[in-house]
Amino acid sequence: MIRQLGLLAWLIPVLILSGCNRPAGDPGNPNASGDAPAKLRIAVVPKGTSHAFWKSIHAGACKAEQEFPDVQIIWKGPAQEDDRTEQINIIDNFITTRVDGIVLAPLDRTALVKPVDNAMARKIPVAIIDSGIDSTNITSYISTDNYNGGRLGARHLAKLLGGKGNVILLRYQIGSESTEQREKGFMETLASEFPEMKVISDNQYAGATQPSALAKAENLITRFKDEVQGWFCPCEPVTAGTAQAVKNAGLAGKIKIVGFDSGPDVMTAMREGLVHGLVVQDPINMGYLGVKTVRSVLRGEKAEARVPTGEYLVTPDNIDEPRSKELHSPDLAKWLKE
Amino acid sequence: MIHAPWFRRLMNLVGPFLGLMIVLALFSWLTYEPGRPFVYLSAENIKKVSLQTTVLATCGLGMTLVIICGGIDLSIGSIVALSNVVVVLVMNGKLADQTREAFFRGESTYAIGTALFLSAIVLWTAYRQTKTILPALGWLAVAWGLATWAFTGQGAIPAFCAGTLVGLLCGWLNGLFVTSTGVVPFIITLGTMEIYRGVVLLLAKETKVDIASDVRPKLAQEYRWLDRLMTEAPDLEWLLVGPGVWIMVAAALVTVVVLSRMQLGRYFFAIGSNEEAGRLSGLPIGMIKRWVYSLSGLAAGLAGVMQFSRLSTGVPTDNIGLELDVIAAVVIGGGSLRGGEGSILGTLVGAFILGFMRNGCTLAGIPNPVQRILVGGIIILAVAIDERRHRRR
Repeated sequence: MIRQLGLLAWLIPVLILSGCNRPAGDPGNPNASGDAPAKLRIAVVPKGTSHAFWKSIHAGACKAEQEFPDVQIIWKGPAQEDDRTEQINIIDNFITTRVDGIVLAPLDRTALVKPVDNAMARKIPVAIIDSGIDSTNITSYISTDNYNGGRLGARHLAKLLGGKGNVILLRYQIGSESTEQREKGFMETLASEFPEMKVISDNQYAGATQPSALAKAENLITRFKDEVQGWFCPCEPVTAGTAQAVKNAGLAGKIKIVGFDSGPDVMTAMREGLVHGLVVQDPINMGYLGVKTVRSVLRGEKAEARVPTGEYLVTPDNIDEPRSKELHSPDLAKWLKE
Repeated sequence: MIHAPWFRRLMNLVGPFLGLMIVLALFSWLTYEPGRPFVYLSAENIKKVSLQTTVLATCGLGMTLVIICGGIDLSIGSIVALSNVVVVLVMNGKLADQTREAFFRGESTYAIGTALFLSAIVLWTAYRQTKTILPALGWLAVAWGLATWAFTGQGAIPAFCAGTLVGLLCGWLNGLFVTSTGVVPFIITLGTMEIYRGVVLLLAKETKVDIASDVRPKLAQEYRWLDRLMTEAPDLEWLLVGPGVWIMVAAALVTVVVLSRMQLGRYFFAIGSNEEAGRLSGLPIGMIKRWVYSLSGLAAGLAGVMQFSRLSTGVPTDNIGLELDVIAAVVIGGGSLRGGEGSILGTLVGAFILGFMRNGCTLAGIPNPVQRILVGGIIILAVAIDERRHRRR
């Protein structure tokens, strides 16, 4: 009998864990439980949940939720930022639960086409945020102009190096549209505007996480430490990993790093003089506009096919200006209520 | 606990399904929200879960055989990615060119040389096993013809064959390495996991490969069957769900027949429970092991074709860690890592337990970290219950 109880002892924490996390009507909005059933349920599906960028998107979505009392958001993304299958499954599952609308940051421009088509066919509007998708059958595309962001980064890096020098582009990951656009904008701007800037490595991919970026950056430093003067990173984990690698190698300040997106680690690195420029987007606005657009479509209004959200440059000089602060270190707690 | 014989008989019958029923009950409770339609056990959701689970379950068929033999195959995830990319390349008619560029510096002679070398190894191993050369030569000719037709062809049917064949080849190499080096399968397949991943990355030139724009329109016409293998609404409505799921079921039935009705299946159990005894009683251990790893690779290759139908693109970095999910499914289904135990039905149930759990977590709005803890907990729980059932028997 005791032995049987031993097995039960396993079951209890499992039940408690799952029970605790059962959303009481509405996750993330404590004052809305037990509301009228007329609420619009809008699923917000990011590429991943671990990076600071997605937390900002989440905050933007929560901001919309608090602004529009008739909206309830459901936040769910794949645990790993390269798991296409998982993201497809999540969209499929949301279609089953008949959410009213979906805001999606697609992990892959082709793989997500079928699930998005499925949703649209069932009259569930889908707003695409952040990265593009190979389909015109969407409600709206709301994102940063990533190509322009790459161009801003290239120009800033050229300015830092006086228009000449050896630079490295550490790419993010295969098949990610937004970062590929940044990388393209960076490379093409260097080629057309700064002929004396030489790219000595542009074929390495950092991978999805900061540890993998750190390892890649360390290897590149070992190989190129006597030549490299500038470094461009197309997103937050790559910037953080590279800054850490440069710091570990004792090369702080000798290699000018221009990154993309902000995050606590990256901002600390900038204050320490490791990172010399950041192209930032407005993810809060992106999350907010995503939910807002889907809501307005559900309420019978028309949506713009393409909604730009803007890109800005944060440098050690303007780091403390209020508008920069709002962009690079937003007060997420205000919206997330965590 | 009740010890009456009827109860024990009942338990043996429903035993494999018990875990699945517990999971279904738990998540039915978790996903039920008053005032909203109950979707968890709806036909639509069951369809979706079966599609989401097919790749996992297909790989599980091969892995069950390997685990019954007392081995393990960690290279599954890489093989699925390789097959996925090969399918896209053959659809584009680019496989031969790209292979030449990636591995043989554009020289056809090197490519043919490598193929001849591989064939020589096949012949040699076949000869050592059977001491006859003619049947082996015949089979090799068939294999050459099939491989040339599939790998240099263009279109959906060659793509389907090339995807599964490349899986078979990878699996056979696994078996060859295991039997010829005497190193434990864990290490061999850990190594080939990296090797195959490197091969697929090289083959795909480190980016994902899309269906070429001139082939894309054909996906809606002559290649439609392959593109819609994993669809929710198949063209033949009486199938209810994409043909991919039925292919998996058919493959499972074949595997059951091999395991329970054919000599080869008996051999799997025999060398899994006691390899030394098998050797002493004259079983051809090497051949059996090459068979079992080949079959595992074949299953993974088939899964790669299905993965293509689901993603519509070839992703060389996908399915990292799939092998661990597959092992979990086999073990939940009663397979023992000590060898000699495992069943196809159990593995399918194990795969569906994982599928229904992940699906249920999304439907219930359970966050990812809690989902992972739950999955981990249920794996341990399921195996613990199974061990107890076995001890009592």
